[in-house]
Amino acid sequence: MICSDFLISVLPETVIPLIAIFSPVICSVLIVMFKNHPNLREGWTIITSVICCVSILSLIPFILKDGTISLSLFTIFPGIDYAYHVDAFGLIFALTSSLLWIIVSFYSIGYMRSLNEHNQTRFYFFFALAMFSTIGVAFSRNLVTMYIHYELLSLFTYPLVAHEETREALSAGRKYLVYMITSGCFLLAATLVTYWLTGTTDFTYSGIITINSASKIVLQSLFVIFILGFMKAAYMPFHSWLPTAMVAPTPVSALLHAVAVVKAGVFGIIRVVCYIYGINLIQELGLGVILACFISFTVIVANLFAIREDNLKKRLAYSTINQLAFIILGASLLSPLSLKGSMIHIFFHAFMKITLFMCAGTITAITGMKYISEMKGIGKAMPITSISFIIGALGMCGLPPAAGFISKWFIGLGAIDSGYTIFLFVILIASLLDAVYFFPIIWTILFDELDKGNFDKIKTKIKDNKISVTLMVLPLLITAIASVLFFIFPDTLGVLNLADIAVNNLFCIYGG
Amino acid sequence: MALFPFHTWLPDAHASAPSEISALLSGIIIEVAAYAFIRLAFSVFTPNFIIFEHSLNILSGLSAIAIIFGSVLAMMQKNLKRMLAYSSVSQMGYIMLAVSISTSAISSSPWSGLAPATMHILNHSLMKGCLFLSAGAFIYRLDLHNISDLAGISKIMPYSTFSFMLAAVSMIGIPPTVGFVSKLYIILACLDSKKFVFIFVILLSTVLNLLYFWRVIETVYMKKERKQLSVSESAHGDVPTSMLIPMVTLASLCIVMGILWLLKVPLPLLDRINYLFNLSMGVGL
Repeated sequence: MICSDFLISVLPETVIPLIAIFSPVICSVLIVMFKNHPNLREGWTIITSVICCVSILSLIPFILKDGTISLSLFTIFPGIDYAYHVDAFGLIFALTSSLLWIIVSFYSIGYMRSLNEHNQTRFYFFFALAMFSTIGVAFSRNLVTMYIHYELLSLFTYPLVAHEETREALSAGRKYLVYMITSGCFLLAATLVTYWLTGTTDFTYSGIITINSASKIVLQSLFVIFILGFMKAAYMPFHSWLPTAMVAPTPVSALLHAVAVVKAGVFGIIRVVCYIYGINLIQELGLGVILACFISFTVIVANLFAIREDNLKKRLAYSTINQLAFIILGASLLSPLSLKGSMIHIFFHAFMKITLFMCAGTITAITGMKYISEMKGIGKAMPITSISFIIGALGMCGLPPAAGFISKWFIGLGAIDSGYTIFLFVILIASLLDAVYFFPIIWTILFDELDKGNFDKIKTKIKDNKISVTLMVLPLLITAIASVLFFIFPDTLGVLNLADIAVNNLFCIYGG
Repeated sequence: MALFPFHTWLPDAHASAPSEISALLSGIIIEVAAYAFIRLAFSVFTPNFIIFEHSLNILSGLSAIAIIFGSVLAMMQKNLKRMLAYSSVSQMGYIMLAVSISTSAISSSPWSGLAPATMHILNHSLMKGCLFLSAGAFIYRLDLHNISDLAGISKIMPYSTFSFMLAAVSMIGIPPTVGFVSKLYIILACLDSKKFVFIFVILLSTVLNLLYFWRVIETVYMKKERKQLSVSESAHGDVPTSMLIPMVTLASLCIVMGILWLLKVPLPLLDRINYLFNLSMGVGL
């Protein structure tokens, strides 16, 4: 924190977001230049992720004083700038991604080295570029800037999804890209129609579309197109790319398909609901309830899919679909409390889900097991991984002592507050279903018998690869501890305050 | 200009012509026809001519069919150059669509009048020129004509495949390439002239473009080579520098020009064209 205070006192505040956005691009160039020196190459990733994170941390005190930073690079059309701005909500998302990037960088070094993966330079190169796009989405000032970063994110994550280059990975990559580019088309159409109707696409607290912009039916269909444009949020029935994309290496699933890519989709939906349409208009058009009903289907059904799935990573993917739908549900209820819950769930869920994914990856890297039914009793051989997994799983179910409890609490309060108590039941049933599929895993890992031969094999494997195993276990331990820490002190890093500021800004105008 | 339904000569001509001729053919020669059409339509006839509007409506319908039809046929091709030729049919549809809606999209905005059409003439020749030159490089070095033979070629010819990839991504219309800018301008022009169905056509074509170009990119970059190349073949590496320079120049122009369009550097010129053909609101420069 001292370091970040120093940064904001030395540099003008408009430069800092630019550092955060463009340092990964520079990093990607350096990675290619040092492709024959693995240690230096990975060093650049770590250094850049730290620079990126520190510059974002340094913005927190400034934003907490209710300031915003706005900078425009150039004008594309009258009313559309290529412009970035930093507000409380965007900062939450950027903070989530950049903090976890550091942790995943360490993890991926351990993971890639212990599995001796091919094409590691390509992996780190596109990983850095994907981070550039993600932070760009978080800091976009208008829909067009967001669209540009959103499309780049789709493109840059393709080589990561198809990394294995097997037939399965290639078809997963194709499916991924077709889903993403199709939804990108919808987003482009919706963006340009918005521009055509209103003459601007900037995100504002009261929304830019008004009831007079067009007839009700046009605005409602435009909203549908917008939602179709955010298929990255993996709501049903457009979710199937996410479980398929789990063929990617675990660091990719962990950071991109639990945090960056999918949260970019959710982030976009909240931006459209609150900052393009505005809470007033959404209520007037009756879209909030419709969206809430639509997304409740995903909240429940994704969990039913998860129960059936034996592949651990795929089960986690369905759990992600469920949790993302939670966030959208919170936003669509349009009450200050649930919106706050959604915003902090973006942050908390990221920490818990990344723990789970990293645990799954560590188990696979060390024992080669991918299916839950194989993992009998491995908790005895890998105690730290198992305990971290349990913490993450508790968080998913919304149980203390993990941070998931707090965000679900706020969304639940919001459901009561909004007057649609039925959604409280949706939340409760979904949390119950979460428990239905997470507790058997915990049981299998901890209490089933592990035969002696396997136990020795795992222990020797851990002993032989001490460095890479430490590099994998340490990050997941840190995120697990962080998940507990955020339960006890939810306002560490000021996330709760940031969400408060974002919600207050949105609802001040709503109240008056 | 190989507009649907009179396009069938183009793929045949491309498949048998040498690649440098193909690059000119799709990059310049069919664009000449587009230029001639614009001259004829707006200098000889006038926008106030009575049947003019009807014929433009027919033209826009034909262009829409060409866009979809060309893309669908391109998806079915095995030969790389034939695929690119059908892609040209589809891209000429873009240009003619932009021409046909130019009279109804006159405003003071950057995308009024003929701006999207002239813009896409330049953009298309950059992209397609680059694609044909890279396709030619594959033939020149390794005698590979079919898409499925290209597996794993990125290891042998990194620069040619990279230029191909950039131009293909530009064809799909990923920002900030020239393809994206064309798409942006044409969609806005469609909105202004209230012809919403064409927006759907253009976006559908984006997805189709993705499907048939990604098949090539995936084969080139992600698949392992099926045919074992002899040592002498793979030792040669990429094509000679004199062939690489134009290819790489065109590929980088796909991005540089895209950013220049977004910065609106060349727009005064386009405005001047509108002024020339009386399509300007008179607000121009």
